[in-house]
Amino acid sequence: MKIDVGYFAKGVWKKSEKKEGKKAMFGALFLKECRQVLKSLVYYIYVVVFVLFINSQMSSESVEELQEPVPGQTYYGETVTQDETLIMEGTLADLVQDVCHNSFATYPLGFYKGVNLTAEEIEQAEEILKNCTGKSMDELKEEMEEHFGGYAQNGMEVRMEAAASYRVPVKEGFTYEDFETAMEEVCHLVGRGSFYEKESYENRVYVPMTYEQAREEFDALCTKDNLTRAYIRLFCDYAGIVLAILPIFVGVSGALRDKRAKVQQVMFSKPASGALIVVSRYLANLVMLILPVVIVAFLQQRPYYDKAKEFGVQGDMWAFLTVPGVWLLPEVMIVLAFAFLITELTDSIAAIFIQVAWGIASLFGASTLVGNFGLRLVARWNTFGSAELYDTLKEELFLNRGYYFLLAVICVLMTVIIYEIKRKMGTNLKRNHYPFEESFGKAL
Amino acid sequence: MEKYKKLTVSFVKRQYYPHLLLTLLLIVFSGGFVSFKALEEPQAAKVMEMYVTFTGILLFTPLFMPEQDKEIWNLERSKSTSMWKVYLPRVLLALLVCVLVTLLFVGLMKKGGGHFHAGILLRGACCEILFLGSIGFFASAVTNQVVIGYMAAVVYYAVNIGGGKFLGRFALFKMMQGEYGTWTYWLFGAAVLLSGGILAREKMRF
Repeated sequence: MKIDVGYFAKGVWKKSEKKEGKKAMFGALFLKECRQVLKSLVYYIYVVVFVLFINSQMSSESVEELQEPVPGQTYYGETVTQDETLIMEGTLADLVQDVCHNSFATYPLGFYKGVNLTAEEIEQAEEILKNCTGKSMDELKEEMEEHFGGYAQNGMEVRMEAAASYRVPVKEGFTYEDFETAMEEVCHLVGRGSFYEKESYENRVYVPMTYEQAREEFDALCTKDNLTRAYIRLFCDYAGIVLAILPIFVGVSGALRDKRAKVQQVMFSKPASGALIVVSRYLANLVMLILPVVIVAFLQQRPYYDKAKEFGVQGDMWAFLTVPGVWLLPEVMIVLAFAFLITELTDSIAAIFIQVAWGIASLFGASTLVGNFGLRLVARWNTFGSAELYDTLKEELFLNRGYYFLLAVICVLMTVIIYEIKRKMGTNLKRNHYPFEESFGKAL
Repeated sequence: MEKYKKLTVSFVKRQYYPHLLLTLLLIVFSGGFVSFKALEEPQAAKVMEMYVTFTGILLFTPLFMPEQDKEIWNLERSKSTSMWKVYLPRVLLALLVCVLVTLLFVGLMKKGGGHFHAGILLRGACCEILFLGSIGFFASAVTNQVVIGYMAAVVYYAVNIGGGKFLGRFALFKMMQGEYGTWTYWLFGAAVLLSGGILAREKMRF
């Protein structure tokens, strides 16, 4: 049915016709907004940067290297340990290195902050180490040099292995409670957000996997993740980084389009409601932003879908839609909704600064690259597989994403309200309108 | 001279002051993001390159904001005053603030007991900040969209975090790797982009 939306404005329709009219108007506005996005240079920059970033990051994951573990392999990868002794030994090894180099990584406000201690504070840190290990700093340094010395002639990978295998044993009778107290003292010296906080050190000591663990991991990869879901989770990890920042530019640009074209007043005079205009614009931007994500995810997933067949597993063909739908859609929704809200409220580009800071803080503020979702905007999962761990953290992720989904809806509703207020006022929310052209004209 | 002073004051009052305030916020909250205590050369360079460089994006990218409004743009074009004369004081103002901010950070790190060569770090940081800012400046000049300017500068910064090797001599974050010789390339790049941006504004019609 072809509907002339003009009649709708004149109020000559019946209730059912009004409903149809609204739908048609929404459809027309939605398509118009999609076309507007396609005309925007910012959008193409977004697509190019997104594709390049994903290709550069995901290219290190080779489908050919994915093999079933066999007994007798020298290395099966690594896994986080929950063993208290290993946690203590691994954390103390980090502390010895940090004290030696007098360089401590902290994330007090979500951003990386390198901390250097004064000579007096270093002495206190050395004392803490002595209490934990029963050894002086000189002895610990010597042991450390001896350990790393054996790897000095080799490449980067081996040096990483050297760092991973470096452990500093605790003295006899030293309990985990004593260790927790000692680490609190270190935190006091170094400041907030260091690796010596309980939440951090309990999730960052890795140990090499055994064959049995590797086998279990591989089986979970095939049965629980159907291979493709695990790969797309990794894709979501990288994509989530870009999507925390880039959509803001598209959103701000879209929200400022009327102002730039000086058609705000014209738009205000149109019969369509504020909700219809804002929501159709928002959804059009959302669809256009998500479209390249889904297409790239589909293309990236294909080799893994084929690989699953080689292992005799039926890959999840729809993983490219379902996983990003949960993982990335709420993120893009909130970033875009925030851009709309702040831009509508301020008629400025202020949202760019706030969102870039938020995105970077969320990215650098993660204490681990796998899990620890909390309420972080960027949900990290920088690993291929770990299905068991994912199962235990799934609920936390859903809560996180649900929170941002709701927040996005609230932001859009608030944008509609602000739009309607501005429409009633007939101008922007600022009381003072500066006749900039006038002052410029006079000066010139 | 009075005319250019008036133009620049008007620009600051109407358009530029939020960016100056943001720069001020970046300084005020710096203690939460970076440490000024006993920094060695690479750590001091890291503070300048990873944190203070943002001032370049904040200060140089929005210099064409008034002209996003086509009426102002056309008004400027219709006047006898050359446009570069309108833009140059803005660039100089941004440059002055950039140097002051860099000086302030170098001073804070020295006061915190840092062990580095202040002059060399200051020279390198100023050129790097200017270069990053000029990318945003150029992008917003040729597209007449400040949003694209910010996007270009932020993307360039982000690319350098993992992909600096593809950018050769124009890569950022070189000083924290101990390479202090690339300041000439940054300065050259900034000069080309700034003059190219102004030239584009003179020639282009949006």
